[in-house]
Amino acid sequence: MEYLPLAGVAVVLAGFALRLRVTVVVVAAGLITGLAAGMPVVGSDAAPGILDTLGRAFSSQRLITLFVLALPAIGLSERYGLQDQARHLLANLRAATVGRLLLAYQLLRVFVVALGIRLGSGHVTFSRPLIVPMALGAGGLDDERTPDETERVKAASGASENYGNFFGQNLFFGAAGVVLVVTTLRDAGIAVDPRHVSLWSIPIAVASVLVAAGKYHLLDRWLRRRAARRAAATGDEGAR
Amino acid sequence: MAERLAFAARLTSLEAIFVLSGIVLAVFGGFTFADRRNPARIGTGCFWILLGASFAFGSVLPAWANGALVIAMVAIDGFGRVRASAASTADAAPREVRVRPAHRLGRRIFIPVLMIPALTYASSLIPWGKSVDPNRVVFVSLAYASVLSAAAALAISRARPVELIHEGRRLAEAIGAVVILPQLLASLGTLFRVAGVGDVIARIVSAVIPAGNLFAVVGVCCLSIVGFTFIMGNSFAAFPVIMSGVGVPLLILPFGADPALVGALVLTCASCGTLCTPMAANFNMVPPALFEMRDPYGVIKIQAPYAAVMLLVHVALLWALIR
Repeated sequence: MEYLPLAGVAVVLAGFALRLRVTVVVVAAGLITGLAAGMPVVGSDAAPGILDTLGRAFSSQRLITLFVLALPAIGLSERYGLQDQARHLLANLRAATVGRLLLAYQLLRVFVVALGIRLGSGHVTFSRPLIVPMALGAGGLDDERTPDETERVKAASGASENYGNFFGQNLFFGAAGVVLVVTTLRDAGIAVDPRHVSLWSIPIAVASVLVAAGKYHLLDRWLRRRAARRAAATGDEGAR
Repeated sequence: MAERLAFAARLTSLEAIFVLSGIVLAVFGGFTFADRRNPARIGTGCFWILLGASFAFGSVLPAWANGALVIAMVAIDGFGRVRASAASTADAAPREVRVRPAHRLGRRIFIPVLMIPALTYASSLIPWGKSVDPNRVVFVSLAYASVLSAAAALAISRARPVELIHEGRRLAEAIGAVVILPQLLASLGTLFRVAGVGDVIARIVSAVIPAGNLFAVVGVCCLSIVGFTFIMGNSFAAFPVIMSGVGVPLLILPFGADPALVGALVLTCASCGTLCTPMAANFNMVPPALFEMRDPYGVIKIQAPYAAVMLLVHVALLWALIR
């Protein structure tokens, strides 16, 4: 019986594995977790219920979704050529490969969060309007790329934002993560200096950039091979 | 004067920008109702209006009513009635429409988009005083920067104001019902916490951990925070549980490890779990929708091998630095 609260976790894992509709899986997991823990559907002052815990948590998390306010400006700029302009920025630079662009962006992202600058969702403000079209246009191969190449370039662009954000943010000693380390250890009776936590975050930040550089290198090589194969194929057709 | 200050304080409260977002979302929904090219315009319109209501009235509605709004939105999505307009999918916009004005506007079109981070940063430089919540500074600035950016985009493009709504709605519909996932999954994390999922996992982990062997303890500690973060979708929920259950009693105290070192590495190790889980929807599930990718798990798939390497780096670094 003591493992009963894990029923909801099982629902989540099964739902994601079977690729059921994610929103429905999450609500089902919430209902089952609450029922397994003996929570009423609608709570009272004495006992929180499933529906009101869900509602309270959902509305207390509204900050995550504030990025919708940026959509009209980004959408209108796209309509007036933003993506094409971003694409052209790198199209004529032969040295600008997808991998190098993403590495540069990740370094910039680490630098920005290390200064303690928070800008909301980088995927909305940087990746969609600027980095993804620049990556797609890098090397001037935009129109030749196959759908699976485009897909992988987009995925890598999204990943570079996460890598830089996650492994760079604790370099700032006022970051929420550093505060969490300090308070958790304080609760355990151990005093630490937030600046030491930031210093010990440097090795991982460096490693995260190095590992990513390796990944980007492999991505570039994969794209180059695909392009070479395509060039060879069209060359054959020309000879025929 | 005092009245004016109070009014300014209200306008720059988080509540005001929630109401503003609610209005924007409801307007998207209203336009969707009228969009005959959307194959599910009633369902989709209702979805965005309900989300707008949840934003605008989230602080005044009773908690159960907020919960009911969430269930209603998920039900609409469950029946597959949240769809994008045929007019708003990326390829439907004729390429000439996008390209022709581009020549005229040139690189000036970058100005509105760059304004959002620039203005948000600029306002964080102002010393607001200790009494002002830093979250409020970031998000209120972000909201007003978005509004100013929209105004700049209008001025530069000389488009009609209604186009702002059409284009914003185009992007919102491209994201679709995934837009509520980050809030939904964070709420599930809360339900997990209330139901005591963390305690059960901590008990399991401390039962299997082989105390005394540094390499084994480091390995289990790293694996368990990754697994726990994968389930909760949030390293901040997992960290205190693993740290107080494993990190402090089995790593810091018996081996005399530097607490700042262990804390820093265990926390970033949790990010390896964040990179792999759909539960961290704002980082992993929203981007594929936002970039109009075919595979909703595409970002997670490309991040998973990287996360595996970074997990090994964490284990190796922790072991080498404590030893």
